[in-house]
Amino acid sequence: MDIINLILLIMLAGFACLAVFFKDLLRAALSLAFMSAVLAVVLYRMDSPYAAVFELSVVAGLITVLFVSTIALTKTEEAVKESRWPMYLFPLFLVLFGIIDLLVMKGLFSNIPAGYGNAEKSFGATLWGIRSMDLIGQIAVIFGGVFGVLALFREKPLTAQDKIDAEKAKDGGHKLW
Amino acid sequence: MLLLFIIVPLAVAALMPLVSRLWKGLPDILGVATMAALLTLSLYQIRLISSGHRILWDAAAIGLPLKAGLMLDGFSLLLLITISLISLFACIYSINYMEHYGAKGSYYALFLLMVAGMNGLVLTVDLFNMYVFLEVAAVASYALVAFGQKHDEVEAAFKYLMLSVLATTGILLAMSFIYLMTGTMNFKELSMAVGTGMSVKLIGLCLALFLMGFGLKAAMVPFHAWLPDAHPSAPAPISAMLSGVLIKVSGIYALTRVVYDIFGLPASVSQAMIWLGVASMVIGALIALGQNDFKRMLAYSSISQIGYIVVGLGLGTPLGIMGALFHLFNHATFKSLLFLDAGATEYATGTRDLSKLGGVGHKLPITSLTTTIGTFSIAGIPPFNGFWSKLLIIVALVEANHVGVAAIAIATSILTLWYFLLMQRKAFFGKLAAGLEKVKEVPFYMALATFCLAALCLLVGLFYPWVTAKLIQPGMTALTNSIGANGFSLFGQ
Repeated sequence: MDIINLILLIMLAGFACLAVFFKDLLRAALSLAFMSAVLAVVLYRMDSPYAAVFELSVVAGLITVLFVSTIALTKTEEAVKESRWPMYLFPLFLVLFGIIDLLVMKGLFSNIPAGYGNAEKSFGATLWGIRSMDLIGQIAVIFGGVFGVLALFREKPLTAQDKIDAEKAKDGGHKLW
Repeated sequence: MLLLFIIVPLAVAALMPLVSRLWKGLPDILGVATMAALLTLSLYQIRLISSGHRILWDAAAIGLPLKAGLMLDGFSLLLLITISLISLFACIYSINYMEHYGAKGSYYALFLLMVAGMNGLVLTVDLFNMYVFLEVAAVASYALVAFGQKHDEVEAAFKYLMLSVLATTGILLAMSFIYLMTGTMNFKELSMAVGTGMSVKLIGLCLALFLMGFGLKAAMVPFHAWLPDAHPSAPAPISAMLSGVLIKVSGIYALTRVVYDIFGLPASVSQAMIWLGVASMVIGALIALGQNDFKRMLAYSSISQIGYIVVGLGLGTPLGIMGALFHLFNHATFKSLLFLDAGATEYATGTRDLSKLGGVGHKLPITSLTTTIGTFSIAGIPPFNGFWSKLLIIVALVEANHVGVAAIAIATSILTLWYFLLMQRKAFFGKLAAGLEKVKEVPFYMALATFCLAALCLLVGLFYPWVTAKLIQPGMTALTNSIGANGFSLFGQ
């Protein structure tokens, strides 16, 4: 295997692992962005420039902006104690996956005939001429993400008790501290 | 015409956050009107499809500068009608139920996106498009599960998201292998390419990944862990949509399309589907028996009922397919009804814990009546709709010499009646539980939605010959034609 590809794939897996294990959400989001950037380079090297451009612009760019904006909307309320089991199990699964990958995938891939889908087509021809319906789906996915953020980070409506508390606080009859 | 099923809900969803600022009641009206229009449009297609035809739609034919194709046959029409029908009643129910959640604009926008995703999935003729629309429906459903913003709702949505990611990774991997082997994603071209010198091992791996991925989406045992958390946590109309429609579209429909249309139901997959179905039937019912949470019990019951559908489809005989498709439609109606009833009970009493309920039947006459109808339907009591579909599946099993499986199906049906009667007794009969003296029937639109669905359970049962002839038989014909057309044999079977 080409040494550069090997380095890129190790970086790819490394940034993916960091994205999972960083406790700071911002760092996790940035690790994911770096992973996407490395993936874009891998795609470019595999003669898929359009996929690389999309990966870089949409995932490393747009999605990271969406993540960072969402993280900016969150606030710290209370510390949540996390289980440490994933920390111990993850390396085991990673090694197990690597072994299966080495033993099985190489044999399977040797059964695949090479050379499909390499016909040179312009970006516009590919997008509008072949994958038009995907565009509609992509638009819908983006809508889904935006509406999801709007819905989940909305102000909660005041309950009857909240309104009573607010009234009391206004009258000075309710001491918060 | 077919593109309208995707574009209309998508366009209305995009407008929803804007129109919700104009007038508070506008999202309700737009949501219900959109679903009513889509239902009318889908019902209109029956006369075209019931004669065995299928509709192919090409964007270029109407002058659009796109290369996009959609297809409607009996199977996709059945799902299209089911989606529109259940969505309409869920929207009507939401008018009152979602009042206390707020942000109705965002709610209906996500709801319609989910509908657009499901419609796209059932109409597409392209495997990758299917994945894209699967994700559209899934992304909207994650947000809808967590819509209440409470801790357990967000946690359930996260668990659902994580397991769905696992499913879609498997599906995407299988699609990549198939594309690498065939160079196409079109169903028709794939069905012709499969079996022509392709690696049997790799096809076996793809089928296993599809079975795992779509099985997880359908919540078949052993891929069911996400459903009992996700479905009860969501707002009731969303629980109804998830259990009634989404698991069938993104799980059962997608799996059936791939396995039947592309691979022609290989014998090994048929056997796997039958045994996974049996496991789902039995395990789902046994766990449901021990539940005290109304909605959680319904969620486990969904796993059990999905088992019946998978067994019927796994059989692959015309009668088995017919029973499975009929049960798919029936389960959508009575499970949605039961989830809406569970939501109504929680709305009126403030709890869905069956041990804290009791004797509310006379306080909630409509909810109690419709829950009883739902119970009889799901348990397969004649003349309700569930009876006929279960009967067809059991007869198909006996015909195919799966007498043992038929006996398990009958026993599971009795078990279903048992746990539903237990639920009825705990919730609606007996002495009125303390603190529930002031309970009163739910608001008009909630009662209307449950009443209509209950009436549908009875009417479909009474007029089942017409329903099977117009709705189910064209679906069965489409699927049996797929097996006949392909007949791919895996591992020499």
